[in-house]
Amino acid sequence: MSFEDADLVAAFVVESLEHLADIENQLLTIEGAGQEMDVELVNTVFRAVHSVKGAAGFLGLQTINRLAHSLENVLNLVRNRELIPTSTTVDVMLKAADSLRQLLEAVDSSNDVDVTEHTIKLDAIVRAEDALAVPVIPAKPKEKSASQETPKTPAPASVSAAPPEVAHVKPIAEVVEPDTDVEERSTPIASVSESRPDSSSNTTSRKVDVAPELNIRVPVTVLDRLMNLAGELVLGRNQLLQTIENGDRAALESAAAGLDQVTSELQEAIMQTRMQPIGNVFGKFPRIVRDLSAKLGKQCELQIEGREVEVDKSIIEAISDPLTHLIRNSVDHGLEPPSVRIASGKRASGNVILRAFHQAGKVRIDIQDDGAGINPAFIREKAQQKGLITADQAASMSDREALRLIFAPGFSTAQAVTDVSGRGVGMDVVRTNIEKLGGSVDIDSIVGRGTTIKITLPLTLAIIPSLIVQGGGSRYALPQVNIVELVRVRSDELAKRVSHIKGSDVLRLRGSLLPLLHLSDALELPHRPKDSTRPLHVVVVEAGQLRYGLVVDEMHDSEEIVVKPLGRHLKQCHYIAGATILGDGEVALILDVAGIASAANLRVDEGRDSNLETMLEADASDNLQTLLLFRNHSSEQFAIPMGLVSRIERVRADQIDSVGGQELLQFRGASLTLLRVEQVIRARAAELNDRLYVVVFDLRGREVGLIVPLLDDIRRIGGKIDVMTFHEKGVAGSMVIDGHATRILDLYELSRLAHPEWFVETENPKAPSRTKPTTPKLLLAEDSKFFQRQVVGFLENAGYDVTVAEDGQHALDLLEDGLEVHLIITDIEMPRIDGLEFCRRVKADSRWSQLPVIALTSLAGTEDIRRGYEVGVTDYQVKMDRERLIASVSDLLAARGLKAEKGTKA
Amino acid sequence: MFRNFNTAGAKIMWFELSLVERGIVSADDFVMALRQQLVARPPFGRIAIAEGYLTVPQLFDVLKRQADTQEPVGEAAVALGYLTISQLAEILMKQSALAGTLAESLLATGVVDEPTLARERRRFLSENMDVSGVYLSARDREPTAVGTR
Repeated sequence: MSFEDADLVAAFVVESLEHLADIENQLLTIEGAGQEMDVELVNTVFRAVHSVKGAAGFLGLQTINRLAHSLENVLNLVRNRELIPTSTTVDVMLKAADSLRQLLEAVDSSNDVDVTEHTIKLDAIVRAEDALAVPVIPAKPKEKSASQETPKTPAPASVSAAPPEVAHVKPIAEVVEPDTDVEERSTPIASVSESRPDSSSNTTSRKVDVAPELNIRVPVTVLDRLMNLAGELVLGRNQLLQTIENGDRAALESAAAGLDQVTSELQEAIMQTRMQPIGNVFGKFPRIVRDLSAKLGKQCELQIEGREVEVDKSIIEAISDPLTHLIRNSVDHGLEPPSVRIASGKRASGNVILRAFHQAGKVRIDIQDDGAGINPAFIREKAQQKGLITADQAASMSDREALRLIFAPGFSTAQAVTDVSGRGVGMDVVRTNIEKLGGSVDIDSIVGRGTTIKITLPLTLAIIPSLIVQGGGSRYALPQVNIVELVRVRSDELAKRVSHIKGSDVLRLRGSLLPLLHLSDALELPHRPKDSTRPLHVVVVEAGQLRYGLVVDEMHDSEEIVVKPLGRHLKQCHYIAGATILGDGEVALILDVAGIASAANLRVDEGRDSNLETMLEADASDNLQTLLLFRNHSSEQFAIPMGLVSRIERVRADQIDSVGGQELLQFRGASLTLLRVEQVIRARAAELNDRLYVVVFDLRGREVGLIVPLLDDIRRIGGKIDVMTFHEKGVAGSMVIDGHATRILDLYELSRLAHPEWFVETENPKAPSRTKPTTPKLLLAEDSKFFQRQVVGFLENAGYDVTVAEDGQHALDLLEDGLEVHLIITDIEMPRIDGLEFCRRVKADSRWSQLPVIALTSLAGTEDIRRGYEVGVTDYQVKMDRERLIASVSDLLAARGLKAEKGTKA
Repeated sequence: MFRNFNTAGAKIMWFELSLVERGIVSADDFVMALRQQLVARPPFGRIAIAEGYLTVPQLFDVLKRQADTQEPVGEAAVALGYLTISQLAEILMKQSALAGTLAESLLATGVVDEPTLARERRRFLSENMDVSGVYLSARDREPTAVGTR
């Protein structure tokens, strides 16, 4: 007699599932606490099960009612402290809870399901306990029969202690099935009614989490807001219709502006309804970790942080599988068995930390274990064996790059594919799945200390910023996350920069070779007639380890597009990820960067080959560097070292406001302070169009923008920098580039001239009295004035105290004079004593041999690098690559327990 | 036909009581049938949600409270402010109205069979109806009219 009203039953299911949502973890917590269990927590579980039982009864759902009733009875004993739960009894309860949830999920057929398997076990626990309750003889518990003792045994501290209980079992039915699994045998009542080994409950219980939720809870305030906005939308429509009738242009514009605003707000509010705490996914992991570690004989504690972080429902659903895989991996491959851990001086129980947090408008999820870590050497060897890389590549690859190989297709670190985490799929599938969500995954590992997997995900999948490109007469959307940079190759440079190698086009880009794919080829569209006078538009895209240039006919603007799924019949098109409708109503397909590459048979190693070539054919000139070339006034060319640039924004002139003489860019809800070249140095006034560029750089933790009206190029340029001709504050030096005298700007000096107040605190940074004793001190040996200024600039900006030496000899003199330093950075080519010799002498002297030494190169040959390591260079960094140099300095200092004093200088 | 509510919510009818007094039904069987009648009626909570007195989430709240207090569902609902006393009474009335008669319960538990019941009913009616054919309710009887029989 099931209940007539489907709505009530549906409401019951939603409510029940919610009450039971956390039962698994609650039971595990109760089990873990043993004697010291939190009775209030037991009460919470009891109440949930009791109300599910009661409500099911009212609705005529007898099976659910009966199962919940049996479970409630056991819980009642626990809450009265008449039963101290053991892993055995908790197992029975967990399986019953699994079954209860399954019944709820298929509520219509629930009355036909047989749950006696669970009720018998549950009832037997109660009976055993009742039987025990009469002759309580606490002094001699050992003499009681095993069946009565088992539930009474205090819970072991860890789940892995379960197997010992197996030793004394089953008095009720004397037969012990030799091949039933551990969990089965340790259940005292298992064989009362059945002698068959029970595997069904194990296999079915996993299916529970897969089905996407059909219902979602939304706070009433959000609904109210939606309702309100819907009202606004109607008003806006009325206004629009009226103004169209009147033909009043000004009113039309204001109506459109109103609609625009309401729509954005509505979009945001609707997004909010879909936001769910990520804890909904995390909730299932404690059980997985518990079962898995028990199965593997390991001990593991799972620590979960950031359950409350909210992400879109679709992401929650899609991230569940990859996360499960990674967590299983951490327990299976990451953590060592207890004996190994103890032998290496660790606690027997391993830690896995699952952490979610917001980072720069995205969601980060870290999975960190304190296991054995991954040995890059092992990965290199394995990848070589599998033919993924060559021996040369293995040798030239950094440890980090080597670690990332575990995400490469065809790579699996498991010695044997186990059913636990192997399951025939590798980390490449995890990576692919995460990338499908517009996210990325990275890995960090320290041998002996553990591994951290870092996942970055967008907050939502429904709306993505994209670049609209054109190929073969149609427009396509390219997701912004895949785009690295846009390159325009002028027609007169085509022959020089694009070559045809091994049947495919490659682009020479800043000294490395980038494989090119033509969009029209990839999509098998008609080619536009070849026109050698047209520039080549290349979108440099990246998907995972793959990087290539996609040649398109035209580049349009970037747009926030709404992703519409493709119909089933288009599922086979791997190079299309979806579709969207553009502002003018036309449909545009969304390109799948990875799909296009695989359709064109582009392999990961092509990119790496080119790196190798770069290393070999690199210009030996010491001054080779990447410069951003631009013009402020059409007749004056300037350059900025690219290493200092955080990003470049293209903006409309009307986005710039002037407040009290200070220009600000209103941008993504924040304002960015702007500088102009002519404001501080002798230069002609900027020629501004409606569209202009803002070069954003980081200045002591503050973002500053430089207005750049005309962007020319980004080039790798060698040659001598002249520091005399334009001797002016704010100018680091000059060079002749393409026949133009080009001034290289010193962004720090420029900012200091425009805003001296920003620098008040750190004026005279080298005065010892101002330097905190904890500020790490660096010694920089560099002969070029230009590089001195740049490198010191960004190191000081990062919070370090830098002393400069003119060459190796000067640096040695300073050290001899007792200069206290924590790290040395040295150029290689220097007069008197060069960098390698300087390093050799430092390492040979016991006073300084412990100091880490970073050698600066401008892409020197591998031979130099080898020689450098021989004389004791700790690390090599490219001179103007600010980010990496700072990362290297900070890593090396962190290893010595030192940290930059960024906070005090910002 | 014969609807006679008493305060306990179950219909105890003079007719069924007369069966006990006449020795056709034992006291134990009578109690069993009474219990059966209580069990078979639709549960309070079911009526409360089916008739819209409580929403499903409210019902869960009530049940959770009940888990601790062990009080009846109706009382818990009143205590939580989900039902007024008069609503509680309405639901109890409905519950009672939906319950089967005690005679049906006696039949269902197999204490008496159909022919016996029919015969006894005829006898009871003939004895308890006044000349105009109006059934004498409890109020109209002498308190001793049944008891002394």
